[in-house]
Amino acid sequence: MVLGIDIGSCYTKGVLFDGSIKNKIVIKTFFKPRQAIEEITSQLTGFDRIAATGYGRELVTDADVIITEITAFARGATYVNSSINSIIDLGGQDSKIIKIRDGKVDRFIMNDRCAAGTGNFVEKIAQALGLRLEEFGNFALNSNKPEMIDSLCVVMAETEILSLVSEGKRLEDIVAGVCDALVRRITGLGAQIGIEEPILFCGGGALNPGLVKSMKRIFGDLIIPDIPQFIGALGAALSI
Amino acid sequence: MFEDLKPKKINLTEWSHQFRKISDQIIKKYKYYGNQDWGIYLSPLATFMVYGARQLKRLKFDNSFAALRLWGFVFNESERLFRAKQVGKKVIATMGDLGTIPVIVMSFPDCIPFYPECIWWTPFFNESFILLDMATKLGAPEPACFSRAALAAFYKKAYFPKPDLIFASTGASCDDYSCIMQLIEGLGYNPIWIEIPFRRKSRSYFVADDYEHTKWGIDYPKRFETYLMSEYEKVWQNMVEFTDINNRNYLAKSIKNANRLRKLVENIKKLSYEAELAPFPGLELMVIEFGNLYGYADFDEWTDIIEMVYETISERVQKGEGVLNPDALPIAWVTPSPDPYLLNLVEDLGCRIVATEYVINQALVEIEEDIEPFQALARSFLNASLIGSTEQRVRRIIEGVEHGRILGVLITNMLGCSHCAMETRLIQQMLSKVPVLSIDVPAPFGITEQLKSRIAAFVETIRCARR
Amino acid sequence: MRETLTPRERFGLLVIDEKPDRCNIIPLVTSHAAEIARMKLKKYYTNGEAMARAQIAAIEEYGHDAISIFSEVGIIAEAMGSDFDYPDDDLPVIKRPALTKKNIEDIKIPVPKRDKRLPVYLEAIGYAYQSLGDKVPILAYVPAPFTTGMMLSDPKTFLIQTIRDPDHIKKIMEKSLQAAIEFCYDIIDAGALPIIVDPLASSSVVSPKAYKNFALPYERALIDFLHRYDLDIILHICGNTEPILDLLLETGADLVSLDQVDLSLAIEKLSKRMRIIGNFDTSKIAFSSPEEIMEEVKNMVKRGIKSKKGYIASTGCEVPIKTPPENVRTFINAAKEVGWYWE
Repeated sequence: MVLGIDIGSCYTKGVLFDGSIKNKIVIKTFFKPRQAIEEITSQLTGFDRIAATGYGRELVTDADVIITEITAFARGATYVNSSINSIIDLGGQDSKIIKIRDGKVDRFIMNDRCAAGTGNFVEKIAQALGLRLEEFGNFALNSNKPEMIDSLCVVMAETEILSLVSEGKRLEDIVAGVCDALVRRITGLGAQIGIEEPILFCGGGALNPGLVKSMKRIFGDLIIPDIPQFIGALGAALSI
Repeated sequence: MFEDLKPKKINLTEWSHQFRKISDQIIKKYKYYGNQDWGIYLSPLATFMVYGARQLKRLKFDNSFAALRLWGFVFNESERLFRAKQVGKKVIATMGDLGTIPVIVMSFPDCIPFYPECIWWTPFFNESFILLDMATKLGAPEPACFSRAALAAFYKKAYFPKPDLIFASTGASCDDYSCIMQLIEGLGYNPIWIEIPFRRKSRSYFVADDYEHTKWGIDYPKRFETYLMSEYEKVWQNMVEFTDINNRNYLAKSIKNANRLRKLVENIKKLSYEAELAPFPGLELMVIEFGNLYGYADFDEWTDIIEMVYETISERVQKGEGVLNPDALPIAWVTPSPDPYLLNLVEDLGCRIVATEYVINQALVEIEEDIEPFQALARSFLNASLIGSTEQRVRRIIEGVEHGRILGVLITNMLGCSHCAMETRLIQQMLSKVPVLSIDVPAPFGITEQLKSRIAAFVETIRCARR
Repeated sequence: MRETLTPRERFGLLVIDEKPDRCNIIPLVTSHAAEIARMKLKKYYTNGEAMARAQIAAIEEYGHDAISIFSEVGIIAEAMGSDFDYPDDDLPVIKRPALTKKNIEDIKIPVPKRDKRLPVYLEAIGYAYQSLGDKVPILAYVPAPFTTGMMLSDPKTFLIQTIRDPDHIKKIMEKSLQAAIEFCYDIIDAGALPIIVDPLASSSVVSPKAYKNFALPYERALIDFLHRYDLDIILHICGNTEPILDLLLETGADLVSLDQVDLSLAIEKLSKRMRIIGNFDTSKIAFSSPEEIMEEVKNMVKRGIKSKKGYIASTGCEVPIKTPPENVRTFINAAKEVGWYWE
């Protein structure tokens, strides 16, 4: 049995795999990746090999295989659905878009130096609006007329949102506007490599119904796996 | 020297150790401008670190004697330019055209051309924001490319002396740098402006034109050649006025000198890129390529160094020795990186650079010697990828991909560099057969784990695609 | 007038014979930095990071042009076997010189990364370099062989032996030279420019003849070694050096830091080949009023900047530990007022 472990900046994910997923767990990383790794290896037992991916992958000292997120996501996603041509992963600290050809990575791109296209953007804005993350996603669902938010920068977007709030705009529409802004950013990123359907949408962002709605509005149909957060960990496990 | 050592990349401390074996006579043997006192340049890399080049602590270098000479010479350039003026030579700044105007300048005795924009490496070698912050204060903020460091250097007068004459090429050269040159003018300098014409592949733009093509197969409208010749004539006249010397025979000799170096470098590239094992590191090879622009302010000594490098590389190739792992993946590099560490990093992560498009191919091609000199210079310059279409720019890389010599392409973008922003997507499309990674070069000391991760993923993608 | 350059750029121009915006101002702020950082002296000289932090605090306080990594001149002798006491509030004090315990043949060349407090300097250099190295040059003070030799011996015996047993002294010198070379080697690799200090070779301590026979050849040998690195080397000899001014030219030093000499005389004799550093009286910086300091420093700097090959405004020796910061600030302000080269 293989333990696939994906040490992200916000969450660390573990998957026990032996022909199929036997068990899985997600815990917060919070700048303590070593602690998170320990917790996962103590809670998920019975494995004889480890495959690591994600930011903290080099910290898994007893890993049998270490691969980057790009390769891991491609493996995991094509395992879940072999027909896909593109993967959009919306993670905490970064987002990545991977183009697949013949089951292999063809092109990929990640956001540079800016949080605008990441889960972090959503979290910061939710915080500023005093919403919990779950509320945020559901709020967006109740909008038919998202507000236009231009800024791709978290700080600037906050200012913009503040002015929308003071103008008395509906919170639902503002929140949906935030989701749209983020998706626009991802579209821009993807344009560099060219996104092709079918697209698999994964990462923590795929758990947010507001974001999913915005994504669908722009990209049309999306494949969202049952376990969007675990694609990287699964892909790592599959690489052994 | 060091012939018995196996070729490899070593760090600064290892270089200091190796340097102890070098005798005083050998140190004194190599000097620039023939000066025995301050012209000595053979020092271990630690010397330049002591004077502020902080990145040298992290970099790795080739362990050959030739590489020691190369680095010593390159890091002495700033002092060399000041010394040149101290002994009465004339220091001429040639900006923007990258490779042709220095050939004219060098045909005047004791005139030393140099490229102020090459100081864009300094913030990275020094891991310092001193120059970039000053450039911001002077009106060239972050959105402009790292060559804005030149603006600060002109202001500070501590990196090169006040040039006796400045030629500034604008037009189809780098947009950012055209602005920066204007800001330099605003500091009270008086550049002589040279205009570079644009060139497009399609004949439909200039239906009425006569078309010619260069020896290297690039089409251009005939009138661009005539136009460039008149610009070079302008440079010549300004130099004549400044020096009171007017001898066109010197120009032919200067072209011969330039060609000698260009041939050497072409051979070095061919040898290095085609050898079974990489005989020389990518960082040093980049420094060698850029040396073609102006020989780091002592063209003769630089050519001599490059001859030694060539011998070293030939010997290694003959012996079948290399500095990288035998399974390193051959990639092409598009657009030069101002951060030298990136070249180290990419090799450390498993790549080998076997083709480059550093936007200076006009300085790499031979200048014809059997035609009128200005015409020859114009025709060599018209090969410039800087002024061509994107397709022409990456033509050779596409060929390399087709032949299976190149398994991946890395593009380093500069924030604010218009070429970069607009061309990356096109290049990605043209090179659809291999993995392409484009990265934005972060500010000094800004290489993050995330960036390393991306390069590592690029390497994995190539490996996977090959299987 | 406006400062255009960083200390690093200013120093860089000086050593290639170019005039910077203004003269470099480098009072020898060494252990006095501990006072500025409100740090126990013992911590300063036994902990590299602490030494660096104190030096950085001093730079932030005064804005002078170089970091000085130094506590006292016994550092190499200690690593070669001389015993020192470490008082909490004072610099190390020699307890027992190595050569009173064993023969010169039995003394080993120290390993700088390992032995006694040599690693303290190396750590201090590393920390300072990482923190400020792009803006400020870092100078590490290395005791010259003569000074180290005397710290290895009982001073009285040492001086007698210079007359009675010169061969023995030469053996001590050779070993001290090797030790200094090894130390310099690591200092350079850590990012600092070695400055050679030979206070015990001054005419206040030994005769010019003894200087010529036993100190100068080894200063020169050490400087020759450093010249292999193409570095510009500072030689600092505090105390009276007037009787040996002409001899200093033979050391090969590129910059010479002087204490009790007439500055104009030093400029006259040395400035064609050497850059002059100096030479404000350290008792004055400790005890004079700011007004007096202002006046006298200005006079000194006005003379100094006439020096042909360049000049660094400095104190003749270390700024005494308890010097009122106001006085150091005054020194720097005075030099900044009159030390301009550029219009």
